[in-house]
Amino acid sequence: MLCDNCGKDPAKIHYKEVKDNEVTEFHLCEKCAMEKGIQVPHKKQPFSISNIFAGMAEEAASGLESCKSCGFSYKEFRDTGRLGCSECYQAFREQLKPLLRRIHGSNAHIGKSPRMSQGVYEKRREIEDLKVQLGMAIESEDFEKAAELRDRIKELETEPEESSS
Amino acid sequence: MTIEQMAATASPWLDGREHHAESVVSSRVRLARNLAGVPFSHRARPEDLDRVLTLSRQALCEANTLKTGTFMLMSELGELERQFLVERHLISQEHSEKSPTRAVIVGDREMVSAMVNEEDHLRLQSIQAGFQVMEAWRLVDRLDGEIDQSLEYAFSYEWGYLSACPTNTGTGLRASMLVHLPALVLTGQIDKIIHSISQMGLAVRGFYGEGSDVMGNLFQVSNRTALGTSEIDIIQSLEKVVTQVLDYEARAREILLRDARSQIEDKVWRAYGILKYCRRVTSKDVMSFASAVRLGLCLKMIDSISVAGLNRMTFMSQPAHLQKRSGKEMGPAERDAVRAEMVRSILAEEDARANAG
Repeated sequence: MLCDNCGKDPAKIHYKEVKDNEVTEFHLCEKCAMEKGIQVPHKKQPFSISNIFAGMAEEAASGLESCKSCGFSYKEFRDTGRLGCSECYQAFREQLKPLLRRIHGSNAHIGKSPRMSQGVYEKRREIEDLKVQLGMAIESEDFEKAAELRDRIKELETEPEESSS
Repeated sequence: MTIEQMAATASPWLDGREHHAESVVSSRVRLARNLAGVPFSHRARPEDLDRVLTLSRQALCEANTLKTGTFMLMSELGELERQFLVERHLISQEHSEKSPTRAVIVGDREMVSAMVNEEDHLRLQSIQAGFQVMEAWRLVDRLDGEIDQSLEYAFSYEWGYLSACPTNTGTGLRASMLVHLPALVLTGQIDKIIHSISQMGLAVRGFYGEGSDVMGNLFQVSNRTALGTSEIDIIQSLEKVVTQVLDYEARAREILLRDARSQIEDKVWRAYGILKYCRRVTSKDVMSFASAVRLGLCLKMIDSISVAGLNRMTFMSQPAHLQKRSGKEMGPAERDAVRAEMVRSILAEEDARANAG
């Protein structure tokens, strides 16, 4: 099959366009597809960090700051897609937050945790549970229970978080 | 177990007896872990890497799951041996460079293993036969727990296990299954399927993982995100998607049987004939002919070969496997001849087995 557009080269890109409920099929060669601004899918399409950066160039414009612990700069990260050390996550926290959300669709860890921090996670989960119960207690106007729950949550929240590690 | 002993046979997890083994070759789960207070591998000084190596070596060798394992330093292995480990899916291509601080430990029956000083300090992995990604997770989770007893991991309350690349940060988990989808390829539906898999947040890659080509209609389906979802949820959603894909594959096979039975039979038997009588063959060709025969096996057109036999043929045909098995280095031309001989002998064994049974 030859390209619909130039009629010279073999059509390699096939796509359908839906416009006003009408489906039109196109068969184009790579060159014409590029000219029409259609993204040509590559055979190898590894999930690349540079692709993500390409979409957020402005956000990362300030790349001069560097990690105090290992000296890695944000610019180096942008170029290589690798961070220098675990402290870099703290140093570039503000830039990484939206980035992580963009990569994973979330920026809060759920899942297993090392032995050292398990206490913290259990406590967090308990607080979440209690808050749900608190909501239900308020809804059913059980204020005595709500007060009890509120105090318990306060108590848990004021305990130092990282005491277990 | 030495590499020589390993090279005598295909990986034990390729025995083809597991659930769905004819369409799912293997299931794999890996965890990325780093030690607290040490820069990531690419940024670490030689003495840091040494420290990671020493600490990890001790922790890994003492872990119950890896007690009978073999610890190997990349610098102690020849190029052929390192390439062999890549083909075996035990190390990555990047990890195979000759380095005094890169290492791998391979556990009993090659089902659990770990790389030291790869992109992350530790990459723990489990490979299982067939549709067993949950079992792979169970094993690697246990190993992770054992290591956690003796090493302190880099971890943040907010973002989980911190990794050199932010794409791995969170659970550090990548789960994948290697699936055989010949009918979706033959009926021209594969691009559509790949597209919808990626819309569901999963990735599709080639035979050797990231950045590799698809060979023998084998596709590696894996999760793409690691943060904000629990390990079990990641595994379960992979299971769900792969089940769905296998369902589409089954339907495509029905269509092929209905509309093109004789063409498929012809394709299957031609492929079998070439494998059975060839005198020279490339590993890529073995992969694609073995794929056709595997399809024939699933469609009950052929019964003189087993899933295990096909797996063995596919994996043992790889260049480093072939050379390790022959005990010498060979150029491509010589390999093609030796490979043909090996393929023929596997088929002869399989024939004998089928006739005896």
